[in-house]
Amino acid sequence: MNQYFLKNKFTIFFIIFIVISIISMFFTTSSFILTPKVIFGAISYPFVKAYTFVVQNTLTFFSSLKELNLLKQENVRLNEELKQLKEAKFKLELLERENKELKQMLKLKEEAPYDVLPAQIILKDPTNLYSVITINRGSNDNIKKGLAVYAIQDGEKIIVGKVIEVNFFYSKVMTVFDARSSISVKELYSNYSGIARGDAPTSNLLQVEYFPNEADIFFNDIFITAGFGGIFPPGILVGKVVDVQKQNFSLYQKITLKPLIDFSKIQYVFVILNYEITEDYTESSISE
Amino acid sequence: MLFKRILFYFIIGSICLFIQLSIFTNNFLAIKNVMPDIMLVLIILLFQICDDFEMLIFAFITGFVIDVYSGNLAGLNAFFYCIVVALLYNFKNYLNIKTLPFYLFLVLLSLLIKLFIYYLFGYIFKEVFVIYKSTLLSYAIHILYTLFWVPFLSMIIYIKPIIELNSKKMYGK
Repeated sequence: MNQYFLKNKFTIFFIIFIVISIISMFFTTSSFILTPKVIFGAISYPFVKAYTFVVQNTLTFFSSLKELNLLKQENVRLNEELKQLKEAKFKLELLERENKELKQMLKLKEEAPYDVLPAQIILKDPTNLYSVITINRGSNDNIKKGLAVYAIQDGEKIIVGKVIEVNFFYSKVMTVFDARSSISVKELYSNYSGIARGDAPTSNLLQVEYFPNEADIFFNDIFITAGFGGIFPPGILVGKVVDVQKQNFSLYQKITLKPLIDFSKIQYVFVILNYEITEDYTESSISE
Repeated sequence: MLFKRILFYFIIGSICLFIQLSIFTNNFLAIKNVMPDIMLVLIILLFQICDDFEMLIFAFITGFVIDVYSGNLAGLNAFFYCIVVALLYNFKNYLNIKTLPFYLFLVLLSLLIKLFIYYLFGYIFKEVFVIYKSTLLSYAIHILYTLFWVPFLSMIIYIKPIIELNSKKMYGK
């Protein structure tokens, strides 16, 4: 019997399986509740559930890895984009500022009663209190020694200095800070005038000499160019008072000015081309 | 060795069921809602290297699992796969040609038998006949799509470790 079974086990099992299949199909179309399909489904359900759990979590895991990689790439891309946008914003701000300055300069240039030539500062030395700066205009642009230079700062004309050296493509400007510089100045609302001398590199202040003792000068009073020397036109801002020393036994008082020019803020200056230069101007004495 | 073979049947059966049933994958293999019969291809290919009786059990179980989770008549696929294995078993002396065109021919023949069985049982169990009333065109797509899988599965099945695992049939008989 056993041997018969072993010999014909394929046929026996085949018949059993066929019978089960047909019975199962029959039960599927009948109204039995416990059909073979239901029973088999109930038995295999835990395995399918476990299988679902493992497969779904595996798929989720790999999907997460893929997403993580995508997120990293996107993060790098966005960072790069942000960097570019920041650079663009910075450039835009610079251009906006430059545009504003140039517009202001153009407006003031049109208002000026003398011809001016705009120039860009190409070299300034902060270690020497900006006593000499270099501009990008030279004899090629009709620049001559002794010409006055001013700048526009916060919408106001402020004195810079005068040209002391001219080359073909560039010129050097001695600023008001330089110890060799002297400018005739006057207080904004009175006719009292004096001579303002630079003090660099000792300090960045101007000392006003020969200023009459009877004038009442107060802290923060504004001084402008007097226009007596013929180099600087009158009315250009020079500085504001930071110290006043009246001397009882002297005709003059000592006033200290803080120049209004701030070289860290400006990039462009104006060279006054056709204002009359005094005849007594010499190279050795570059004072006004 | 038996344990290894059972493990082999379990793994390969699970993978094919996973693909075939698309329980978790939302029919990613389907073309115009037609799925290939990967399990049939697997059974035919495995029959060439595996034990006959083991293949009969494998065919019945996998067929029944497909029936349970695919909404068919429970037992229809099990019946069909058992019939296929029985036919292969009875004609195995004539099935020594182990070439791809021959496998394609066997799969094609089995699919035609499947069509006949489906319509036969559709006729017998009239109540659910409508489930199997697919057009000949979609069945033609089903046949072509199934045949498309034969070369790929044969490349996977007939690798050396699998043949060695089932070497009892290859060399033992």
